[in-house]
Amino acid sequence: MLQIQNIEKYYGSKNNITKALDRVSFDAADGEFIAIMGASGSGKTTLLNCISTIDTVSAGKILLDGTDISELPENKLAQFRRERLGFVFQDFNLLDTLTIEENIGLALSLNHTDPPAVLKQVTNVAGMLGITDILGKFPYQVSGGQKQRAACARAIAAGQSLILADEPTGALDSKASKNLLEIMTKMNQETAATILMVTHDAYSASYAGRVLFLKDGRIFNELLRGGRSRSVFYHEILDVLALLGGDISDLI
Amino acid sequence: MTLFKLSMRNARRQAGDYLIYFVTVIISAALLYAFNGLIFSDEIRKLSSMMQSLPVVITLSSIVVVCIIGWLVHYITNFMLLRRSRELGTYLLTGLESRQVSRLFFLENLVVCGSALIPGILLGNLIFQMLRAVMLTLFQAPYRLSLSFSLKAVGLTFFYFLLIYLSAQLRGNKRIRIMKIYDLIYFDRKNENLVIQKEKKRRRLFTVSIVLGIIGTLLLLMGNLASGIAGSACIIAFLFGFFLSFSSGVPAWFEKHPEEKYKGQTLLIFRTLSAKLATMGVVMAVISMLFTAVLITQGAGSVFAAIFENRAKQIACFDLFISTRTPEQTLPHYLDYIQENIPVTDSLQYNLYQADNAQITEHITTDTYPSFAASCDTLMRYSDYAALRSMLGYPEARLRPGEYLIHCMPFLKDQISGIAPDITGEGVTLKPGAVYTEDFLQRFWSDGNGNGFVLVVPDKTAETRPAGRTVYAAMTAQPVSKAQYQALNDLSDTYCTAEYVPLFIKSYIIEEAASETAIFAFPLYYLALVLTITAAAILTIQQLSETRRYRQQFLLLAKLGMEPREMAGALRRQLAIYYAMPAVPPLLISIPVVYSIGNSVEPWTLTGASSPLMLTVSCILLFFLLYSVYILMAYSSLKRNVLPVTQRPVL
Amino acid sequence: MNFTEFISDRTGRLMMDIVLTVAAALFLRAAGTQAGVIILLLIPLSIVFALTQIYDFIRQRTRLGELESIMDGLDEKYLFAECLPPPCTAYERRIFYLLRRSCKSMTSAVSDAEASRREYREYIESWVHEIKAPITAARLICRNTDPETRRKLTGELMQLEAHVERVLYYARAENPEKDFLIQRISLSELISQAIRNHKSLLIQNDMRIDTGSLDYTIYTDRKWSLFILGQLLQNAARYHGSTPLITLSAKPLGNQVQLTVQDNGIGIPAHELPRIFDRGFTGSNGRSRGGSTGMGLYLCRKLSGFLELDLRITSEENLGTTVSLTFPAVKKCDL
Repeated sequence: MLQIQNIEKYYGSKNNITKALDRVSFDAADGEFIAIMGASGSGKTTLLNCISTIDTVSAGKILLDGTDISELPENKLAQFRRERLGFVFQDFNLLDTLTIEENIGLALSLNHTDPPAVLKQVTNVAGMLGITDILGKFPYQVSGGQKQRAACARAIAAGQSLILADEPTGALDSKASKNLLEIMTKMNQETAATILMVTHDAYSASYAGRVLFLKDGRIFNELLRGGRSRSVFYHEILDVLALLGGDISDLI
Repeated sequence: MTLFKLSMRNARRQAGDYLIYFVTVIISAALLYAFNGLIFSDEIRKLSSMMQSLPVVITLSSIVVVCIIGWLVHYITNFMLLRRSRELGTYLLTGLESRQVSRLFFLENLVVCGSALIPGILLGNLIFQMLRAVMLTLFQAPYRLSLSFSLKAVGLTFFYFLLIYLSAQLRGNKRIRIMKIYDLIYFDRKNENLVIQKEKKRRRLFTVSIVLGIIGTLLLLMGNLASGIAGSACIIAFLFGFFLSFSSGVPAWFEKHPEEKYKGQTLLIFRTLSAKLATMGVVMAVISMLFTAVLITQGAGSVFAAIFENRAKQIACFDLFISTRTPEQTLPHYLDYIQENIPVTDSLQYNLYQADNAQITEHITTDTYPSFAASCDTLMRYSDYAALRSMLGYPEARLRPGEYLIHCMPFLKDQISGIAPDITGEGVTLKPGAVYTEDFLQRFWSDGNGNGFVLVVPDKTAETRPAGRTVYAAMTAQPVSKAQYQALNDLSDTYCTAEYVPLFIKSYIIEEAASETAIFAFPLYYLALVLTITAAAILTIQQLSETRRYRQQFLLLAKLGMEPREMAGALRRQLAIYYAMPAVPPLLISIPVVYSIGNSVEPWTLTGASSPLMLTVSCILLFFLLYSVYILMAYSSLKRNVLPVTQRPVL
Repeated sequence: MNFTEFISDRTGRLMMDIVLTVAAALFLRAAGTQAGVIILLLIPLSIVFALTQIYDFIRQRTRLGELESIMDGLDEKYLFAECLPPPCTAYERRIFYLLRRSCKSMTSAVSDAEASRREYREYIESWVHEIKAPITAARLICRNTDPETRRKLTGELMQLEAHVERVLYYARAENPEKDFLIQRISLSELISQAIRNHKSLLIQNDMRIDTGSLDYTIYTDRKWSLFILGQLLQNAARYHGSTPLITLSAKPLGNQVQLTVQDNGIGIPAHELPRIFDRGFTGSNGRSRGGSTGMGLYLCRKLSGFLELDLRITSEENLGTTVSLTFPAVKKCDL
C-alpha cells in the first residue's frame, strides 16, 4: 500500500544544511500498525511530514498504491489528504473555535459530503470511540485524552486508509495513554486502516505490529512482533533501546 | 546594549505589525497639517470676508480630530502592549524594572510617532496644495503651483502630536506599572477561555436589538429634534446589542439547524466570526457608530456643498442684475456709478410685464413651493428675451407667429408644459410653444426674471400690459471687484430705503457660495475622513493581530485536505463579512437619513447630477474608496502570511 | 500558469492603481476639470494599462510553458540547466545562473559517484581474477596431502570459492544485462548440475536429496539460475535439522514451471520471515549457525527479479523451509 523508496530530505537555511533523512526505504502493507522510534533529531517527524506531503522530499519516491505522491500538484494532494490521510498530532490540533462535533465534521465537510450524512457519520465514529457525550463541548472544556480521541475520530471519519500519528501520547498521562493506544489498536483492527505512529516511548511502540528504529536519518533496525505478546515485544524493544545507550528514550 | 538600542531593534522587528499604525499616523499627520495650513494661509483668508471665520471652524474640527486620533493611538498602544505581553513578561523576569520597561516603550513609541511625523508633514503639504486648488476653483480664482511650507502650521501640527503622544504614553505607563509577570507570560493561555456564552438572555438581546435598529431609523427619518434624539439613542442601543449578542445569537440558531453548518465553508466562517466578536463586540459597536457618524457627516457635507453650488448657479448668470419697481428713483444712481467705474461689455434695460391672470402661478404654487409676492404671471418682450439670450451666450430661440415661449426653472418644465394656457389679448390668441430651461436668474422670490418662469410674447402683446418691474442686466469686462460691489451696496443703503432692490452680482454670489461651502462642507469632510481612517485602521489592526492564529488554522486545514482555492475563498469571504458587518448597519441607517436631508431643502435646488439620490450614492462610493484601501491592505497581508505556502504548482 | 495565478500575484498592486486612479479622477473633478475631459483621459489610460497586463501575462505564460515542456522531456532532470533557453530578462539571467550552478554541482556529484562505483567494480573483478590462482594452487597442493587433511582443506577451499563467486555476482548484479543469456534449458539437468557443484558441502552435512519429476523445459540464464539454486542448497545445508532431507519437485503452472525446494531444517522464525531478503540480514539463525553474510538471499531476490522468476519462501520454525521458484516455460515471443 505504501512504499517509501530511498527518500532523502535536506533542510537548509542561510548558513547550514542538515540531512534529515538519508535513503530511508520501507514498505507498509494494508492494515499494518507501524511504530517509528528515534531520538529527537533522528528524522522521525521529518519522515512523517514527508509521507503526509506537508514537506517535499529532496530525493526518492513515496508511492501510495502505486501513485508517486511526492510529485503531485497541490490540488490533487489536497484531495489525497482529505480522502486517504488522517492525522493525530501531539498537541491535539483541534480548532479551538469549533465544538468537538464540528471538528470531526470538518474533515467530512471538506469532502463536500451531504450535511445529513456528515452528522450521521460523526455520530457513528464518536460512538465507536466513546466520545458521544462531549460532542457539544469545546476543546478547552475537555481533557487531553478526550481531545486525542476526538482527533482520532476525525482521522477516520472520512474513511481514511492511512493514519499518521505524531507522538499521540506525548502530552497524556499513563492512563489516558493506555486508553488511546487501545483505541488506536481497535481502529486498526476494525477499519483496517494502516497506522504509522512516531513515538519515543517504548510502551506506545509495543502496541504496534512492527517497529522501525531511526537514527541519524537512517533506519538502522526493525522489529516484528509476529505472534508474540505485547509484553514480550515491549521487552525486546527495550533491549534494542538499551543497545543504543538509551538515548532514544529521552523525553523531547 | 542600552535600552535605546533594544527599543530600536524592537521597533524595526515589529515593523510589519506597526505598519498599519504607522501609515494611519502618517495620514493623520498629513490631514492635520493640511487643514492647519488652511488656517494660516493669508491667500485663502483673503478670498472673501466670510472666510475670516474659516480658521475658527477648522480649529474646532482639529480639536475633535486630535481627540479621535488620540483615542486611536491610545487604543493601538494598548493593543500592542497586550500583543507583546510575553515579551514584556520576559523583560520583567530578567530583572528590568517596570519603570525601565515603560521607558523602553516610551522610546519605541517616540521613534514610531516621530518618524511618522516627517513623512506625514511632507504628505500633508501635498494635500494642502490639493485643498488649495479645490478651494481656489470654488472661488474661480487662478491657481499657481507652490510647494512652500507654512512654519506656523508645522508648529501647530507638532503641538497637536505632542498632546496625542503624551496622553497615550501616560495611559500606557499606568498600564505597564500594574502588569504582573504571571499574567503577562500566560496571557496566551487565557485566550483559550474564549468567552462564548450561551445565555438565553443574549439570544433574545439579538432579536430585540434588530427591532430597536429599525425603530431608531424610522425615528431619525421623522426629522424633528425630539425624534432625532430618540432615534439616535435607539440606534446606539441597537448597535451595541447587535454586536454583543452576535456571538451567542448566531451559534444558537445553528444549534437548531445543525445541518446548515456543513454547507460549503459556513462552519469556519461563522465560528471564526463569533469567536472574534466575542472579544471585540464593544469595539465593533463603536466602529459601527463611527461609520454612521461618518456617513451622515459626509452626506450632510456633500448635500450642503451641492445646495450652495446649485443655488449659486441658478442666480449667477449676469455680472450685474438690478431689478426695481421704482426705476426713476433708484436706477439712475446705480447707472451713474456703473458708467463711471465698471467697464460694461453688454447691457440691457428692460421691463417685466404683468399678465392679466395668474393661471400658471396658481398651478405651481403649493404649500412647499410658495410663490412670494407674485399675484400674476410674468411676461417679457421677445426682443428683450432674444437680447438677453445673446448676452448670456445661449443659442437663438425663435418665436413663431401665434406662439409664445416659456422660460422656466428645470424642475418646473414638465409641470408648466402640461398646463400652459393660451394667451389671449388684443384679439390675438397665442399658443404655448417651446420651453427653455437654461440658467436665467429665476427664483421663486420674484426678484429675478419672473417667479420661477417667464412667458415670452411678441413685443406688441407685452407692451399692452403694465410693467411690474424694470431690470438692468449687464455683462462686464472683468468680474465686479469687491470694492465695486461694496460701493453698489452702499448706494442701495443710501437711496433705496423705500423698497428693497435686489442686487445680483455674479462674482459676489460665487464668492459667497464658495465661502459657505468652505466653511460648512470642508470641516465635515475633514471629520468624515479622519473618522473613516481611524475606524478602518482599528478593524484592520484587529484582523491582522489574528495572523498567527489564522496561520495555524489554515495549516491544519491544509493538512486535512482543503483545496488551496477553497482556502483563499474562505479567507476572502471571512474578510468580506468581517468588514461588512460594521459597515452595513451604518449604511442602512444613513442612506435614508442623508436622502431625507437632501429632500428637505427646496426641491428645485438639487436636481440632475446633484439630486439627493446621486449625492447619497457618491457619498457611499467615497466612503468605500477609503474603506477598500484598508481592506486591500488587510487582504494582501493576510494572504501572504496566513495561507500555507505551497512549493508545488497548483494546477 | 493560468490567469488567476497571474492576477493573484499582482492583486495588491492592481487594486492600488485602481484606487489611486479613482482618487485622482475625483480630485480633478473637485479642482474644476470637467467630467467629460476626465473620462476622455481615463479611457486611454485604462486601455493601455489593461493591454500591458495582458501582454505580461501572455509572455510569462509562454515562457513558463516553454520551460515546463523542456523539463517534461528530460529523463535526467538534473541536466535541466544545460537545456535552458537563453534568458530574456535580467531577472531570468540571474535565476538561470543560480540554477546552472546548482545543476552543475549535481552533475559533478553524479558523475563522481558513477566513476568511483565503476572503479570499485573493476577492482573487484580483477581481484576475483587474481584470487583464483592461489585457490587453484592450494587445491593442487591438497592432492599431495593425506586424505583427512585433504578432505578438511577441500571443504574450506570450497567455502572460499563460494564466497568469491558470491562477490563476483554481487559486483555484476548492478548491471546484469551485460552478462545475460536466456537459453532453453532442461530443469532436471540444471538441478543435477547444481547438486554436483555443491556435492562436497551436501555430503559433509549428510544431506539426502529427493527429487520428484523434474522433467521440464525452462527458459532462463543458466549461470544465474545455477547461482540461485546453489544458494538455496547451501542454505538448506547450513540450517539443517537432525535427519536432513531436501525435496525437489516441479509442476507446471500455466506458461511457467514451478520448482519447489523443501527442507526439514530448523526453519525461520515468523517475525524474521519478512526480512530475510533484506541486504545483510542474518537473523537469529544466522547468528547461531555462524558463517552467514546475509547477502545470499538478497542476491537471489535481486537476480530472480532480473530473470523474472517468482521467488517465495515459507517456513515454520523447527519444521522446515519451503522455497518456490517459478521459471518461464515458454519462450516469450511464442506467447
